[in-house]
Amino acid sequence: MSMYVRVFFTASIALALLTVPLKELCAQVPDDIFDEEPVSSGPPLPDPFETFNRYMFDFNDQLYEDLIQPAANFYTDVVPAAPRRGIANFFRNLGYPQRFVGNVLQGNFDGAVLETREFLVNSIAGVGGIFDAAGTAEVEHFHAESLDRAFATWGVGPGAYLVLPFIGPTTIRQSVADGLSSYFLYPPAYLNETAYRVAVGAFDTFQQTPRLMDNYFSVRDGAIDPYIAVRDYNWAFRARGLHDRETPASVQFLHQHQARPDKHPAVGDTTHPAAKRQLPPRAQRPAQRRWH
Amino acid sequence: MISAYNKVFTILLFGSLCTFAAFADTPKEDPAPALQANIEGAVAMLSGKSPEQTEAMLPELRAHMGETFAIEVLVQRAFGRNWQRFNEAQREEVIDLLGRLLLRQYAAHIASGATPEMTIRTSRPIGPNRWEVISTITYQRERIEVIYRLAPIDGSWKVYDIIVEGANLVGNYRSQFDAHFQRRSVAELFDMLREKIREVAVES
Repeated sequence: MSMYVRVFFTASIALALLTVPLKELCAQVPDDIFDEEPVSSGPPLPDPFETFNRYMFDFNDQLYEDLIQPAANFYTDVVPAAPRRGIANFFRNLGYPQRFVGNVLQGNFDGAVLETREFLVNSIAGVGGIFDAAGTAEVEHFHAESLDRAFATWGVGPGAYLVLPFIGPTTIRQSVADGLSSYFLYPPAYLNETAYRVAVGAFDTFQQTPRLMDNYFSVRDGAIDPYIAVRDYNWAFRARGLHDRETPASVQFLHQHQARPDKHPAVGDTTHPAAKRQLPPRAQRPAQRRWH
Repeated sequence: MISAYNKVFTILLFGSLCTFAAFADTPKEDPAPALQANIEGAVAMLSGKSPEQTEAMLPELRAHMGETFAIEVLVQRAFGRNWQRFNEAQREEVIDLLGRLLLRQYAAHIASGATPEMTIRTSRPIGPNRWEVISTITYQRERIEVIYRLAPIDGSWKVYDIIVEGANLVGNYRSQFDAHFQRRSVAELFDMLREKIREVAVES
């Protein structure tokens, strides 16, 4: 027996004997885990106005803390949950034109039909949208279609990150899209009296503040640099909605809430049988998004 | 010359043993049920508790969550290349501080609000020693997608990355730490973390 064979056998025996103690000496964490980059929703958002944005962020932060959050708390304390839900349902129903147009401009006609069906059911059987007759308002439309998403589909980049007074984080593209939406696609904008238009719009925004403030403060309070935390969370959240294009957002949403969880495909999981059923033929789907 | 061969052989042997030990430790079972049970256990521990009770429960909560969350790995990944700035003692301290901050914030949120419900949507291997669990958390009428990435750590599947509605927890903190170290020092970071922990404790 050669020396090398003896060494090999000795090593094998040693290996068998030493495995347990060596487990204590060896790192129990895969080495490559520290080289693996965190999963990202896309390229970072340009922030050329950071100095201005940080100033506005501090202004808004103070405003939210001193005024908006107390008002939101007062609203949730005074108005019981059921009426608040009815109010939220009503205003969500009013957002139908924005979602419908957003779907159509992206060529997502499945989504447009589903939104229309939901709107009609809620408007008729749900008494103007107060009751969630379609059963879809139990869960918010996180990534509801909008003009901003349509612009992104067309290849319009976000421009740059902006923090606007009162409104908070947005992008140049989104602020333009939201401005157009609120002027043309928001039904209260067609009220005759300016005072009514402003009052209804303001109340719509106000009734959303408890949820928005909760989200804002939960991100801010755990952050080392709240400005960056809010900016990146906000951007990742929006970008994720824009990237999940295999199944239209509204179709995903409706199917997710209507069927049992185990029958749902994961977002982007096109291998799931249910995902295959939901997807229209590739030729009928909107072109893959160009992002940025 | 013989001594050099011995060294090489020893290194190779040790490397082989480590590889063997690592593979021997890669769990085979689906980690989703254990992850869900762990999270639901944490929620049950915290639901309806007063801030004082929550505060007293933090060490127990940390031990409980440590069964499926690799807190040390999450913290180290959050620092990325900035991890090299710390000495050994600082590393231990920063793991403790950031871990406490995250746990306090999580605990305060759960204890004061509605009880979140977790549903596993997909659980699948995404590599030889990686697993992905896609879940939906229903919380205050909102449905939130939370993706957990797991790796075999200390003999079982543990979470090393969390993505909430597309926002990566590790990536978000890494951006913050990168920005911090462009202008500030390690000592200032420690002061800031301690202050944050105090703030979260007071607010809760």
